[in-house]
Amino acid sequence: MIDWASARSFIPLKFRTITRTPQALIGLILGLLLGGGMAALGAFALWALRGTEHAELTLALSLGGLAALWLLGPLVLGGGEIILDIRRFGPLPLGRSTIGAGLLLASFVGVPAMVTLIAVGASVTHAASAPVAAFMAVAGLVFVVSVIVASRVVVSFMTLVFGTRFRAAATAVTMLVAISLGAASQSLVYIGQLVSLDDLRALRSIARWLPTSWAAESLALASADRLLPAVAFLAGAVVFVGALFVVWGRLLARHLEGGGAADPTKRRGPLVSPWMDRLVDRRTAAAWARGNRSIRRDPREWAETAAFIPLVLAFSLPALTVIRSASPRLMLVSYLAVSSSVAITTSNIFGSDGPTVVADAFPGDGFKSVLIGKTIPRMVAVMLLVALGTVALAVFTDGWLLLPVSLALITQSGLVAATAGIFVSLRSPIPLPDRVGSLAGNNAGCVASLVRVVTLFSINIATTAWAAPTLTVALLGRPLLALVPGVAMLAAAVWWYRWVAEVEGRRTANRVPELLAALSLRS
Amino acid sequence: MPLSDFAIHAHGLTKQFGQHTAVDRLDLTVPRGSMFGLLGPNGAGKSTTLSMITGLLRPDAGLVTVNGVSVWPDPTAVKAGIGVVPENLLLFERLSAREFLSYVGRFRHMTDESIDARTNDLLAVLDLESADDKLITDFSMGMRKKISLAAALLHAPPLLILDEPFESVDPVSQRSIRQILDQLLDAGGTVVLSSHVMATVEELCDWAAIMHHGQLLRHGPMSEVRAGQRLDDVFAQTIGSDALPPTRLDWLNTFAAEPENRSGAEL
Repeated sequence: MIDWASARSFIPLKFRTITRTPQALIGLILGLLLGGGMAALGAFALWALRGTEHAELTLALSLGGLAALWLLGPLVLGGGEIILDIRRFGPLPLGRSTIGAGLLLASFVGVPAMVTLIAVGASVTHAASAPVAAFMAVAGLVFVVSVIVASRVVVSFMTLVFGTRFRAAATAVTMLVAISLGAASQSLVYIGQLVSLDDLRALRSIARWLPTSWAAESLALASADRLLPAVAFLAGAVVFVGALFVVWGRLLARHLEGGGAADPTKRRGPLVSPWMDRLVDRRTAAAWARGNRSIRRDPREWAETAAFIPLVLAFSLPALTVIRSASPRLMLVSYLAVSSSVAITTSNIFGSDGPTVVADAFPGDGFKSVLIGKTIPRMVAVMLLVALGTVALAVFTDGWLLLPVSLALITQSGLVAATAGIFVSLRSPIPLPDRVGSLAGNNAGCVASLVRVVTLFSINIATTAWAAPTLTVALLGRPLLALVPGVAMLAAAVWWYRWVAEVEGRRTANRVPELLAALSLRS
Repeated sequence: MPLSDFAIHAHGLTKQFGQHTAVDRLDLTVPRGSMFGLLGPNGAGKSTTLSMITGLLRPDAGLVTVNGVSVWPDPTAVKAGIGVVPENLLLFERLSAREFLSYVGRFRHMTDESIDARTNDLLAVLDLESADDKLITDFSMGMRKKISLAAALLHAPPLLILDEPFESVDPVSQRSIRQILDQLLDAGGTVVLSSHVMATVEELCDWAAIMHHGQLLRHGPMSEVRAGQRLDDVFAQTIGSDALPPTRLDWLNTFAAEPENRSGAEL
């Protein structure tokens, strides 16, 4: 039995939660402007295209895309049960159906719901006659409910699997998604040049078989007065919504009964892998292994490491799309992505584990091992992924000859950027208080923020200069010969990295109280 | 004693996480009107037991009744009559203390007047008035405990179940909390609390139980559990750790022989 009075209280609870801080409020307003604007633009496009096949196609694909956003969005956008976590209602006398109804009602508060309602409303006004409009209104309602419940099912499942770390990560990832969208939007122009109407028709023919698209397909078909198939798709959508409610109900029950509780006796493997001990000394291996664990377990570290994804997108997408036939040498630009991203991930090595610098400092050792141990995992995580991207570029551009020199460039860029990261981290250390994301933390003070912007720019200049000999030979048409300066400059980068770690480590070892004071002052 | 004389009656309560048995066929009774202390070392299964009693974690086996109502067929009905401060304080981080209590009151179908009056009282008694409009995310651990306790007390439940209620709470607030618990007890209520602080349990509670490895090793009125000794001595004897085994940590005596372990030399 649903306690509707309690269920209704979820609406103001969600509203207050998402408007309580100035940052959240600004985000909401910007989201409303952006989302509302896009929805209005879509509505205008539909109106302009009315009566053509384009209108039906646009409607089906845009609503299908919206459904996909509802499914994927909560995983990264900090929405749904991340804001109203089911487990917070655990001690209260609220049944599963009441909590479900409350969460469903609360889903109508926020930008995604507003954009969806505008989109559905616009599609209904597109109907040719009043009976079709009535049918489309019903289909629109089914669409809205289906995307909301599907989104809830995904989030409930993910929170059961990932627990609190997933929810904590969501907030940090929100900012990354925003940056990624910004970067990807630069590539839309290139993608747009490659996509034809036939491609869109093919995409619709695939998407229409996804249950999340059935209500959207029904709306699109009804808008073209093809009511019989529209009814069939709507019937399928209604069955799908029913199934979703059943699954969601079971997931809610699992949440409320303590499902996903961890085994407190679970044993983990040894901190330091034997191969690390073989590569570096014991103290560096310990710091390296701790860095690896931190990257895996702390969402703020994920954010710092993942921050390079938009950069890689920005560099590789144009190369993969428009210019792929122009010159395989363009894959060489990927080293710039490495330098920028390694610089981001290493420019605040005391960030999310600032307090542990005390543990690092306490044994009284120099800081060299700590600095190398802190930068290696961040560097490796980024460089491996960009190297994979570069191999993909080689496949697409048939630029295999350039691959060795490109990998050499990537490695040296990473090392130069990590060296600069060490320097900046020690000269301008910034700790992150608990529950503050790394990207927000970097903007904690305007001076620190300025230092980081200047650093990123300087590192790109420095790595370009460092890469200049290799690049010059490679671009002059002798890719394999470029390996000679490539390897030489790589060796120089290794030496530079070790030398800076040595010098800065020794200097820091004598200034631990000052470093701790700087961390305290800025926390 | 008839079942109706017990605020809590658990029989054969069992919970496993993978291969680990957190609570093993536990039988527990808490008389109405008692202040009951649940004791045990870290990992003994106290919080798991309290979670199963309060409808927050479904047991793998066993039965539990709270105020005569079986918990697991209808946990919502049981939750309506109890106040809980759970181990994991999952609060609404983006609400202020007052807003949080206001929402909890609404979910418990209290009138606005009643919520306001009781919120004012609780914030004053728990020394949270100055944090009235502060977001919970900015609260210290002690403040989180106190606001969680306020939420548990708001509807004046006849049974209060508190997991480590004094942890991280300042001495003045601890005193206030004790007075609140005494008042609830005087009115005929029942309080169950888990704690590591023996002195607190010994002073406050008239019933006690000692858990270890998911099993109940001692259980009964405080005088019987203590059997004329201090509670911390009884506790140590019961869980079998009244002295550090002589063979352990022998290496602590080797510092004179291994100075290189503490060298500050850089690699």
